Amino acid sequence: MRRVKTPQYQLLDHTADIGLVVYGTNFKELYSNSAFAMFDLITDTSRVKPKNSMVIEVEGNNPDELMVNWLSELLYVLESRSLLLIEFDILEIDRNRLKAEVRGEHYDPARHEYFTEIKAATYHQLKVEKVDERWKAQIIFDT
Amino acid sequence: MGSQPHELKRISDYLWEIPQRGNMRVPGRIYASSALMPHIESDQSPLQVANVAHLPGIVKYSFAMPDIHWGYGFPIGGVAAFNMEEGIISPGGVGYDINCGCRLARTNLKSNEVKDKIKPLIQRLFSTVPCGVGSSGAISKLTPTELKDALVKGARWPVEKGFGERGDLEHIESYGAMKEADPDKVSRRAIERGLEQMGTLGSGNHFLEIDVIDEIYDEEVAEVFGLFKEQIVVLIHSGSRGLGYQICDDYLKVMLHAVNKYKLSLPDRQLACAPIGSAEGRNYFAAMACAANYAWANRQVIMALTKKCFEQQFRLSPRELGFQLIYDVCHNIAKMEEHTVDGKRLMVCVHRKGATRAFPPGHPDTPRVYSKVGQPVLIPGDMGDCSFVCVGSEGAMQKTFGSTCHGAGRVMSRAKAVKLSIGRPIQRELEAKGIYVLAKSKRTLAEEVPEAYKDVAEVVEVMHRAGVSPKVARLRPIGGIKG
Repeated sequence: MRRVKTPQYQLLDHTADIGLVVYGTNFKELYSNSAFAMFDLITDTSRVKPKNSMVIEVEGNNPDELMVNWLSELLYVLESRSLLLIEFDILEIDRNRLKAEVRGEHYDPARHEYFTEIKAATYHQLKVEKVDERWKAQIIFDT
Repeated sequence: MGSQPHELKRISDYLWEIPQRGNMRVPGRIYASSALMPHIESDQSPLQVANVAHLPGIVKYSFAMPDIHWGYGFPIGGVAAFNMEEGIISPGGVGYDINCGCRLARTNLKSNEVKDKIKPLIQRLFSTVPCGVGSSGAISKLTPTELKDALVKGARWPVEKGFGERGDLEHIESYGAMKEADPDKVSRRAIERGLEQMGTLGSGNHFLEIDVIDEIYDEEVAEVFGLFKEQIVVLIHSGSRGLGYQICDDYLKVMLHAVNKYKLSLPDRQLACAPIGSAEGRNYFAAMACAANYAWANRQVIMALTKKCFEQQFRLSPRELGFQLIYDVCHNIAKMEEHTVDGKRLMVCVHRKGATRAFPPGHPDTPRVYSKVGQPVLIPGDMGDCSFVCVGSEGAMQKTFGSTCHGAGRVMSRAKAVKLSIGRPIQRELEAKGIYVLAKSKRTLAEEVPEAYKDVAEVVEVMHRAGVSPKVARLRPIGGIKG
């Protein structure tokens, strides 16, 4: 299942901006959970329906870069197509490449509220690592 | 990144120094008062000041203004100049919101003429000026060709379309356009993000505010600026929107590779940069200039919309209303400027990230109308707090590469601010203080509660007393709109 069942992520307290610590039972789930957590910061995801879908592919030199590029790609989709996304079906993934089918719907001011504008996912204190049996990511956003 | 805290040596009442150590090429210098110092020491921003001092070609000092707070790589409130030979240019030294800045417009109105009309005026502005995330432009979606034209022309672009007057251009930093802009260096994605957002305020700490001049500190300068006590003025704080974020993001990637290519050793990845003269460095600068120009065009459109709302609300002729741009400054920018270093004139690349240019009287880049007194410096306060008009000085040229502070600076995370505001009617609290605010998102209001910020008066006072940017006037908000 693509949706994060709480509590798969926590807010990180940070003076200037907002950070997240996200968990996944495996590498693949970490990336879909991170994407969901980011959109959970942006809007009330329970009010978004998976009406539209698209396939996204991103690359990176390592899991860190892959994470930043993945989230940046989703922010770009959000802004250029006004698509609020809530489901992230990772079709293929390795350390350098990710292919996913993502689903959501167009922003409708009558039903959706924007909580936060995220300018970017940053490299600051970025961590993607395996801790015990779980995968963990720490991501800080510029807001 | 060094983990040992850096020593902070007090140089004077308003200046601290981080002595050079390890691979630092110059010392760090922080402008602050004893009252602000605990805030500064409580986050990692002094470490970031020291990190910037590691960068190749840095000249004199890695500076921080009193509103310094933690940023990505470079601290927010940081100023650093690099020589043209070994120096670097860094997207992290400018920030994601390229040319986030502030503009101030005057009117002939006095506070008693506006008091009863503030609510309808704010409601009119709220429905006219697009704000908030997901809002689209007041002008219909641009074609890529139109947008590229705007990226070159900056504020002149909307003026040619009837948003404002040609005379406005003289009242804008860099006259509203950096000539180094080259739209061919801007990605297709950045262009795409810019098409629909021209003339939009944005969200977060961006705002449009109606203020009353409630204190004049320097009558002579205030008169030259066209300011008087009890006058109604408008303060607009916005930037280059998604186009700027995308350009920063695009070039951070380019710079991560450049760091390896040019074998630069950096204490933090977010300091990624390239030599000023390298292809990567030149391309970033040309793209950054496009975003800067977009931001000036954006603020020009917003101001023209605001002027129209005033005309409709008060049913006054343009002459009676006297709505005029005083000045427009950038807070996030890199610029090639000539400065005196050790008695010699030197071309340097000055990065101002959360800092304002503060050029003195007689400087060739200080507009002619202000050449006797110096460039207006605009320092916005946080929501509900006062803002300040200051003036550039020779002291700024000698001490800080012609730079000063830019605002209040956060002291509290957004998450904490939201927690603190739970159950509080922020809008009514502000109204009780005589400030009528309309915001697209309740969350934005909660994140921007006054307690989340440093006291802007204290920040401005430090730069006043340090002889960098003397105070001219204080602005008290009576209404505003936010994203």
